[in-house]
Amino acid sequence: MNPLFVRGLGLWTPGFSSPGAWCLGDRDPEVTQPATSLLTGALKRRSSEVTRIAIDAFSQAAAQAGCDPAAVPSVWATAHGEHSTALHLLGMMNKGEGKVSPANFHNSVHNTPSAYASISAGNTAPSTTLTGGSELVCAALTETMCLAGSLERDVVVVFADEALKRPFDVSGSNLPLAIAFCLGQERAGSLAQISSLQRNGTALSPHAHFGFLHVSAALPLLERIVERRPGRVALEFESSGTDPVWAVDVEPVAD
Amino acid sequence: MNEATRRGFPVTAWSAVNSLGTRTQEVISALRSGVPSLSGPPENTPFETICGRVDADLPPLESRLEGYDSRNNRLVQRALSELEEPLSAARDKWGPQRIGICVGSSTTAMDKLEEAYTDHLSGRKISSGPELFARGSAEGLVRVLRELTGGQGPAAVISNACASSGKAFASAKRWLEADVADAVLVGGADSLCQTTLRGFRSLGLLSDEPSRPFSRDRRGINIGEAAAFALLERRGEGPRLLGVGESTDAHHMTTPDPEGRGACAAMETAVRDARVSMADVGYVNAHGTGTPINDAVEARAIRDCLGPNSDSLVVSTKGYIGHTLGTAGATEAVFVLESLRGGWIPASVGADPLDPDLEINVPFELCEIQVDVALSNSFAFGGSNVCLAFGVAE
Repeated sequence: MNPLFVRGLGLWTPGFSSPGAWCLGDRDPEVTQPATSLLTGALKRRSSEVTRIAIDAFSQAAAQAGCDPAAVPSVWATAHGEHSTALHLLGMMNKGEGKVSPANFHNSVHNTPSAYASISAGNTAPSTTLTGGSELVCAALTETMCLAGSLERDVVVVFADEALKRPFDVSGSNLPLAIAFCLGQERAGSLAQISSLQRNGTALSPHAHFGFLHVSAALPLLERIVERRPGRVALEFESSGTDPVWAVDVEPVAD
Repeated sequence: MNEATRRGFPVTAWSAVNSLGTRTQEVISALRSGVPSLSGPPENTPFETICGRVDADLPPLESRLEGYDSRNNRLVQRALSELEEPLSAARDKWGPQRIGICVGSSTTAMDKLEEAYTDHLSGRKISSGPELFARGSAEGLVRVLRELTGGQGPAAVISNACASSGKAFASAKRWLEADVADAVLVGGADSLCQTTLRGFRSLGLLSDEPSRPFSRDRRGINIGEAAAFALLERRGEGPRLLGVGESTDAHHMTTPDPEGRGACAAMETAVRDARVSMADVGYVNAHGTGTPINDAVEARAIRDCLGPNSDSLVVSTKGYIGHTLGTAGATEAVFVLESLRGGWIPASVGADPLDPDLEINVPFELCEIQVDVALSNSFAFGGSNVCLAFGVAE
């Protein structure tokens, strides 16, 4: 796999509305809702938290890279998908006649954030949604790097999950998180080069704020890029059976 | 022909489990016979409907995988049991680190989460989180696939609703092209659950009789369950995955673009990627869900792509086993691979009498015919489209 260049970044979690603010620890208590300017009216009203935070991060990364959100191909990664919507469906199934809402049902698929972004922006480019556990971040980066290489275009990859709710609140996190990277082949104007996706890293420790929320395994990569620190970054909290874990090498690109 | 000039990658082995049978040979024999295998829904379904249910007993996972036991993973185990030899050969040939896993799943083992939620409401103790997610989520699916295949390359679960496992083939082809792996186990698994049965009913899309894709009398879909896998390798013998095409409708969560532009774009891209022409396409295994709107839009897209006078045969195999959701793409890919290898095309069961407005060439009987290139379509909620172009072995 050829190396690719990081051309844009995005992040949203309560208190932080950009990668820079996150890395500076510059918490803003006013940041309680993600930006939803990409979403059109009806879709904005119907969207879940994970859809809104994912689309905010997607928009940030695309904007920094100078990509048109109406044209850029995308990859979306989520361990638990539309968790709140799925819980709502489970609640409905256990009440009265057990009927479910059609809107909740079609909004419960994992590719809802991708669909809402594409419908709102009019984007007909390929878009793939991945799910999984400890290997999710590696899988989504693999897909993104291969897609960007195949299409010879910039591709935005988004990692997003809500905080899990009772009775499934197991990740040790009560915060939602969305992170995005725009990867492409053009070095000029890029932030960093990433390469060598291999199983040669040391497992990450669970994050103090996000516990084992799998998408937070992308945070160390984002932090290293923002802070312009070269080196190897692991992409997993735990080994999936054989040590060491999946990792990438990062090299900042000179201004 | 040397490897460098060959198009695409060979599919060297495959397997399928669905309502037609729990062994691939049984499934294909039933498909050739033209008889659907549809039955009633799971017992906790509060309404009557028709399902493509695997009625045979599915043995629990072997003891080392006990913590991941679910109906979904039992389907996986059953389907993979037929691929032990080719997987072993691939491990010897390429090394475990060069074998990737790329599968699609939409609901995975949602029935386990449904069960846990009901237990929680009843005040019963539910499994701890990690145990529950091992059984009920894609994480457990990946763990089971790694253990059963020995593949140590990248592993991904694609979840684009009903296009999931079709898109897994597209990703796997890119992995081979990018030299991420030398072989990829591709496929998918989805088992029946109440969320999908009640959800599709709420949308008014379930048929209360066996589904009849492309028929004038079609009334909707039947939901099915399945697992299907294929081994895509850099070199080997077998029909070839020649090209892939993906697109997004950007139109609506559940309704396709009425002009079928997204579907058409996926087919055109797949044919271009395969370096063939539309005139080479002899068979289209359609998404063909059996809903009035979906079949009409897909037929329009096929006409627009292949031309109004095309004699390509268009078949939906969902009349046999229902719509297996995230596994539909992989299941139908297996049907296409069998057709290319055996020189036959299945009947589009239930299509007679054909909807005359569709203007596509739908066979009501099995055709003994060898085609060179076949397309397989999968479309999904959110307007996600994928088309796979397969060709005969070279």
